[in-house]
Amino acid sequence: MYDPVCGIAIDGEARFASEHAGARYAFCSRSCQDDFASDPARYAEMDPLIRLEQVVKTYDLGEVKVPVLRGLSMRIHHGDFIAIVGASGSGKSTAMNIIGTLDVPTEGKAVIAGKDVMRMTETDLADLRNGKIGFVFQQFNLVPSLSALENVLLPKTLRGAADAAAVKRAEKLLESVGLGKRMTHRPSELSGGEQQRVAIARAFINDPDLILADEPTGSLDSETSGKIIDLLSDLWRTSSKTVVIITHDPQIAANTRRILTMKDGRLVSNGGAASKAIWPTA
Amino acid sequence: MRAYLQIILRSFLFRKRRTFLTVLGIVIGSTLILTLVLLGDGMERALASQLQAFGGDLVFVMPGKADDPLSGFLRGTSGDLKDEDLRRIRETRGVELAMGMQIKNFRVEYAGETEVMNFSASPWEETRAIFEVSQGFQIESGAWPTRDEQDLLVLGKLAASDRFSRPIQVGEELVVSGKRFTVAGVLKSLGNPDDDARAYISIDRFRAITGERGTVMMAVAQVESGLDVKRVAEDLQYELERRRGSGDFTVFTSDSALEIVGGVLGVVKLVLGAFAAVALIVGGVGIMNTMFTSVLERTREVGIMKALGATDRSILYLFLSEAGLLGAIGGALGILISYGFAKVIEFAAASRDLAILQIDFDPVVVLGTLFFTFVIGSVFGAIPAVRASRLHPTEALRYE
Repeated sequence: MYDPVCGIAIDGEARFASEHAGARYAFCSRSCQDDFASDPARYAEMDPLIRLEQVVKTYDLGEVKVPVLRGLSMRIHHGDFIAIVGASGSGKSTAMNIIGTLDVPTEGKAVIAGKDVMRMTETDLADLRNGKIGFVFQQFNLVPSLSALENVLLPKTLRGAADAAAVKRAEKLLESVGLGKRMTHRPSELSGGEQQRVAIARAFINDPDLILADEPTGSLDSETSGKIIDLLSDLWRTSSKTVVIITHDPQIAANTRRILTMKDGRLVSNGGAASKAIWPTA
Repeated sequence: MRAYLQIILRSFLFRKRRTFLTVLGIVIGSTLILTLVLLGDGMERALASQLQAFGGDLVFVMPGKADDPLSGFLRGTSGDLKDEDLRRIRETRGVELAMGMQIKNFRVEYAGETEVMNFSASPWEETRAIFEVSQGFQIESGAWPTRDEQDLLVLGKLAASDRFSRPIQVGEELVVSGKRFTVAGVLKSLGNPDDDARAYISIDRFRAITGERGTVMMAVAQVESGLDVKRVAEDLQYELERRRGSGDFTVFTSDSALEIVGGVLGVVKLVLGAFAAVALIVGGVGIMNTMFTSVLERTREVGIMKALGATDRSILYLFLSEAGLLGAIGGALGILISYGFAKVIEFAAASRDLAILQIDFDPVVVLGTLFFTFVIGSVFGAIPAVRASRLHPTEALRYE
């Protein structure tokens, strides 16, 4: 049995549970259930922010073709806070590249913010990334020659839109991540945690729909990691953005609302979050 | 371009030493070219103004083949223009009057000092007629001498006022190459330091000093008013060639002299310019090298910018502009340095009374240089820029 909404095959106990619950979307995450069990029809009609259907990604290394994603399907709705977990080699980074439109599927369908990425030109994809997606990377990926403020402004600058209003917004964002006094510092003059906070501020500059964080704490000590995750959680709670964190750390995943587990290029679990503490309603 | 300016300038500041060295290559090339252009233009302008001052209705005849008139003119070839030639010139139709001229440096003693002064020698009556009418010579004090056999001379404004520690007055005596002369007159300034620093004597006295007989260095003919100077010059050429049986002399007007000088200078400029262009190309290769290194070093940066929404095209423009700007900065510095050079040379020339240079600030040259060096930078930066623009975002982000 295949759950068309959550996009995974349901077998064994789960299938049993699903059938006996009598609800069509019983296997959805608890958040899904909470949100939509009362109105399954609405859920089915709703356009998800991210829809991957049977996405296959194969890397062509000359003589051998390496399949990384082998039929990945998932839906992520507006406003959700999601962790994609999996061991290294599970394809989660490639999944993040597809979701972030940095890469396109070899086969299958990927619809991001209502746009079918397979039908988009390179320029359209760049526009989509610029306007709808904010990236946070493991290596922070700030431009070393630019100050914190200029880094936050970069998505605007690249579009020739770094006007006074944008500067004001960038300053506000830096203040909100606690870096109001370090705006003119270069990345090399900032600690890892501070750099990541600059990157988070940058991700928000164009008011995107989706914040996509790839191992955002992978280069940080545990204390700083905790603060960064808290910051992301706070921002999610207050901004109504969709936040997707790719991580291999179960503790970080536990902070989110829904955990998608990947293995061998597929989704193997669409289970609920371990912690309910941050759910606004629960 | 303006949007990227900040990113580019930050990048330059971030890599100061490399930026400086890359720019240096262009500075050297553009300085070489510009200095040549400025000096060449300055020389041309100065010569033009001097030749123009010769007078538009004058025809000059000099010994020496026409293919090398400039060197003859500048060196002052000793004349083998005979008195007989001079008579033929006078008899040519359309010539109002004509005179032979000698130019030579003599030692001049005055008030216990000795200086070398440039002398122009020609018969007084014709000198006065030709110089006053065609070249605007005017006596400031004293008077033109009338008889060639008298030991009299006329001084240019600067020759009287500047050469000796005490200004020379009309009526005072000078010793020229061992012979006593009295100053009959001082000219008004002609506005040209070369002419103003000169002294004038009669050809008769010149021959008395030097012992030379029957030849002149140059003949000057004044064309009857209303006649075509060029036509008379052609007639002169024909008449002289017939008498001498060869064409080993040059007839020119101020217009044709200008053409010849301009042509010679043009060739000189072209050859030197070609060498300087090689220097500029080497500078361009430096930009290319820097941009290749830069693209490699900033692969990850390109990945970041693409993730943040930069298109292939904007990355291309970014790196093209960066390379172009490296060139233009080099060009701008080259402009400053070469104007400095040229001004120093102009000053040095002027302080030696060689007013052969007038360096002017030419906005066309400035803008042209900036544009040209920008284009050089962009052209040499094109391949690295294309390479950067084609980087795949995910691979670029993975690059260590």
